[in-house]
Amino acid sequence: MFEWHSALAGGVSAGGRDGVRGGRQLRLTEVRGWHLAQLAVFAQQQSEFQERLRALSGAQLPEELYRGVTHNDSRLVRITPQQYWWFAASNASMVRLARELPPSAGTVTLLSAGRVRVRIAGPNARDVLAKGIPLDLHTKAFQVGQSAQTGLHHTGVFLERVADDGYEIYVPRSYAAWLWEWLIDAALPFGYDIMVEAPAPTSNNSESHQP
Amino acid sequence: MSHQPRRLSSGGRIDRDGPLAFTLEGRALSGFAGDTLASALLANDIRLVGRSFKYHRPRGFVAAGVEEPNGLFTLGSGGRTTPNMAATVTELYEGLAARRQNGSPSVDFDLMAINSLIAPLLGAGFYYKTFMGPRQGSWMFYEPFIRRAAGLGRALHERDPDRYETCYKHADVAVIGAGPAGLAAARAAGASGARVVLIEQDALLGGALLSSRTDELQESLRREMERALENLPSVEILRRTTALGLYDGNMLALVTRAVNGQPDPDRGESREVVTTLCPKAIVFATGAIERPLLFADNDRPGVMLASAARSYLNRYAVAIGRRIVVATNNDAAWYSAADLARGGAEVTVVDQRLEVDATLRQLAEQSRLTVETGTVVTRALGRRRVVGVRLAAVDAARERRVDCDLLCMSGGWSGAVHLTSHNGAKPVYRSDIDAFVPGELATGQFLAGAVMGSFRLSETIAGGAQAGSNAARHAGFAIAANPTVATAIPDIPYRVEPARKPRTGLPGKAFVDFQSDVTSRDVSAAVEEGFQSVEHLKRYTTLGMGTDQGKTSNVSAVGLVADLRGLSLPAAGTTTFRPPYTPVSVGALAGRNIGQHFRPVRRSPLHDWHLAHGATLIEAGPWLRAWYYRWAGDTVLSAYVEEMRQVRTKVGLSDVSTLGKIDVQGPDAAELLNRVYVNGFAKLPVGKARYGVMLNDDATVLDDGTTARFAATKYFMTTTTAQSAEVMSHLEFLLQTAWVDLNVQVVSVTDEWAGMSIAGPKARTALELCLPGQDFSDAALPHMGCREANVDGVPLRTLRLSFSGELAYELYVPAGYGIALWEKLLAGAAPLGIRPYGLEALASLRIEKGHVAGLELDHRNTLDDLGLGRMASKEKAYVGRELRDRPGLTDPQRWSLVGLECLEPGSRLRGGAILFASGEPLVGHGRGYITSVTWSTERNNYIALGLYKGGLANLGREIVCAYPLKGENVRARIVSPVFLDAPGERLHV
Repeated sequence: MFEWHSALAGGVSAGGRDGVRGGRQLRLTEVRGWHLAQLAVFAQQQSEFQERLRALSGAQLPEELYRGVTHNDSRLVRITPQQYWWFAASNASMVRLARELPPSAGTVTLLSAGRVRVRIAGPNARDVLAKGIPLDLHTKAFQVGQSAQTGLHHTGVFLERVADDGYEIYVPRSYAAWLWEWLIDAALPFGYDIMVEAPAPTSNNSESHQP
Repeated sequence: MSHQPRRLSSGGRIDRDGPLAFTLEGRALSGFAGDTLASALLANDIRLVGRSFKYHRPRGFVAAGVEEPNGLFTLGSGGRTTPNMAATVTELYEGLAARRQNGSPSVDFDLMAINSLIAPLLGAGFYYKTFMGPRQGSWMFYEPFIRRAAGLGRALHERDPDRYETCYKHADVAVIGAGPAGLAAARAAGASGARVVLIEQDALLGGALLSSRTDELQESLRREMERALENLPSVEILRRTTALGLYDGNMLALVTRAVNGQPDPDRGESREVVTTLCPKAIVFATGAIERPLLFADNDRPGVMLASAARSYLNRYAVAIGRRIVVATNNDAAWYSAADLARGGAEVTVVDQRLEVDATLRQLAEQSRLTVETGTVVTRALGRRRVVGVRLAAVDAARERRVDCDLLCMSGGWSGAVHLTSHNGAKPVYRSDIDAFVPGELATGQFLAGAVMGSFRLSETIAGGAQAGSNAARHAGFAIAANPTVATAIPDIPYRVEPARKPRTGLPGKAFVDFQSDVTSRDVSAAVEEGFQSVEHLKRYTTLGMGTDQGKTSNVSAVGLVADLRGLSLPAAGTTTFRPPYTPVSVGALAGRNIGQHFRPVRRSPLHDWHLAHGATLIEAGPWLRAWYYRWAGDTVLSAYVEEMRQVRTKVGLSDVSTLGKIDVQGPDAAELLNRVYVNGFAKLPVGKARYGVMLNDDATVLDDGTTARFAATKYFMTTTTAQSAEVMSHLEFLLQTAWVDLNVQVVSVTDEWAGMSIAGPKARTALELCLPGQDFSDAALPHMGCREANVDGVPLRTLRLSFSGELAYELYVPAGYGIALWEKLLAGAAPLGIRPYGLEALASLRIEKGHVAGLELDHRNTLDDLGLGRMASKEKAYVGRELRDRPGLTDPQRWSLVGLECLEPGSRLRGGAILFASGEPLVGHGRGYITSVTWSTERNNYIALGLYKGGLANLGREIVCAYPLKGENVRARIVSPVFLDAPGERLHV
């Protein structure tokens, strides 16, 4: 059995630091156990693609860009007019779609191994992100459920607001440890706890290659 | 606590229950919370605050704010030493250690003051005229001496242990300046619900109101406005924050200083934070700065702006003088004089105007001011502190002396137009107030208060509220009604007459720019020498080029130039203001982008394993890669040769995860590949990989790599590490612009897959041992074969291809399983003696095989230059084909790829060495250069790849490799670039 190794293994361990005023205002969590596929829909084949996707997961392709829709454990975000990111707890449906989708309809590319997912939550989450992200993350401009492709400390990341005071960033794996160092340092004035969130172990699923 | 002789027993905005101890050159002094370093020094009766830039004249404080030209101190110690800090804006804190600057051995006893004696030699352009000869380059010789003699504080080389940050902020309305206009603007905008950021450089809100007595109506007004703002939830107040610059799109750069003078970096406290603020609208309420007057020796300690003396008295409870002369050309100074008189001083007002308003006469009577109208100060008397002045009637030569211990001056007020000009809006002159006001502003920018020449308090507040409303409306917020100002506001008039020019022919110097030591005589000399444009004059005399950016000198200088040239003031022009408005530390601009965080660092999925197993890492572009491993040697020179030997004789394992990887899918995938590669890809069978080369539009080589076909419409492209992003952009660009009709998707999967190369004569046996379920025979997986499989539930992609020239395979698994597969291979093939090898050996093995890589693929070479011309298909079109045939690219004398073998035992070849034909003089750019070099375990010699004029037409020729940096000239022979197994037998076993 191959053992999966986190890109943050060297930096993420339980613990944290107190902030300037004492206490820990933030929770920085590495979220494990999720899957991502990039879907591309060829222009004339949208209905065919949509049908296959619905049959496999019940999910719909969203109309609006960067505002995800959720169905059961699937979440879809339209990232360009023709491309979507499909997040799910298992990749079984993704692998099936890749196998069964007629090549003329579109493509499926698995991306879960190449991204690290970090959640930053707490009253000062926005202040920490503002140290590196040029976007306006105020509630008036960036609501829960909204997402964006943006830059954070010289790194291209996918950002999603998951709660009033919670954001998740998906960072390319090779940059993740470096960005994590930056992030915990940026969070230092507010104090933080470090956590790892991983799903309970399940039986070996031959199609799921990340715990 | 030391006694503070100049401190009043009551009044001011200082906290007498918060005494603070500080030092000046080690001398223990005390002040109070709420003091600036300047007010605390003045309270301690310290007036000599530095020596001037060029003449080393004794200097005192001129101002009480950001415009201060003289009172620059070096603060802190060790790595925290910061030079050139204006004491007038440095909040006092417990333990502050300050040093005065530019005195040798000390500011009190300065030997360099001798410069004052040779002052006639040191006029405008002195350095340019004197130090240009006798030879070209003489300046280089003199410069260190000049820099040591002149100048301000010294920078240091020690690391600054403090923390600095940068961040972004967004707002509907930014209000710059929290004086009465800014407070009113922020309140009006905030009331509409707009997100307002109010920026104030001071620790307190109020601006000019802070210089009024605390028992006056202005103070209750200030407090009421402050409270109102604090109750508006959408208003954010940034105190101790300076707007440094205005940029396109209404973007502002701000710097915020720490509340605590000694922030603790270990707890995340920053000394300074630079903020990029993006508001939809801006209200500039930046206020105005008082101008000095020009008269002889106007720089003596104790000559100060009238508003500054008032500020020290009312805000800091420091009475600097007991006999005060206030020299002016405007009304405002009379009110400062009245305050100073109320503080207990004997005050004489000297106004150049023949007639003044009756209200001023009345004020003078009430405040017991002695008044001299139609009179000017011609000279300040005293050396280390002012002891008197000479006065003369404006139309008479006769002078008389009046004793004083403080000389206040007011030459009128200039709007702080700096920020509004950063975007290119030239300030315009208004003769009624003898000042420049902002020129035409960009959309979404509004003005309020003194910056636009509005000096009456009631006008300022009403105008501020209006500007705030307009800004909010611009940002899309509804304003119910224009705000009204209910409070009765004490107004004072402001009338001004242009200041008289200094009298000529008198002894002494009239300084225009105190900080750069520029006198009125320097200005006239420069104009006479032809530097007539204000911009030229500025550069020639250095006027306005100090850390204060000429805040007190600009208008006076323009006035002088206009006078000398017989022009009106607007015709004489202004200088260009540029960011930053006030000095900012480099640390703050860098923020936390320092050290390892200066630029991104990418880590391979195997990084943690490399670190734990004795790899020495090296930066390769953004990547940190395993350079060599300790098992092979302690230094790279010994280790890489051992690692090469391992691969040539047994089997080695190398991390190639950094290679660019692109998922190419879709019905038209083959078509895309066939168009971007020079060689054919249309007929590549499923289960096979092919080496391909791509060209730029101009026919230079873009990149090479291998693309494998795993299904009819599914390909896996690899690129070089260096060009991966470039290739991805290239493909995206073509698909989105030129070939939108192709149904194909490209997705970067570089981070998705961990890659490793297993290479060496025992590579197949090793894989058979490690992955027993799979057939690695030549028949099942021939050279350039590929396949997908599943190992323990994990997808595995195998490509049989070789970079080293040995039997080799590349294996790819999802990145999180990279270490697991790597360890499985090392453990499984341990009986064969498998070992990891690093980047140095990887690169050296390819040189022996004659494969080109990043060093040769530099976007300057053609296919033929690199010996790859025969790969190009003659049957099809591909990117770059049309431009391949340009004469410049087909010239047989182009520098092209050769192999080189060292002919001198004991000597070595070096990368970058310049190549010359034997016997020709070793000058100039030669006939080519070495791109890659290694020790060859096959040849037992140094070998290299290089580019040489005419390339392999020179086969067998002896040449010279010159390396001037080390003075080495080594003989070498031009040979084939393939040093090993030219027929490729090792690949096909």
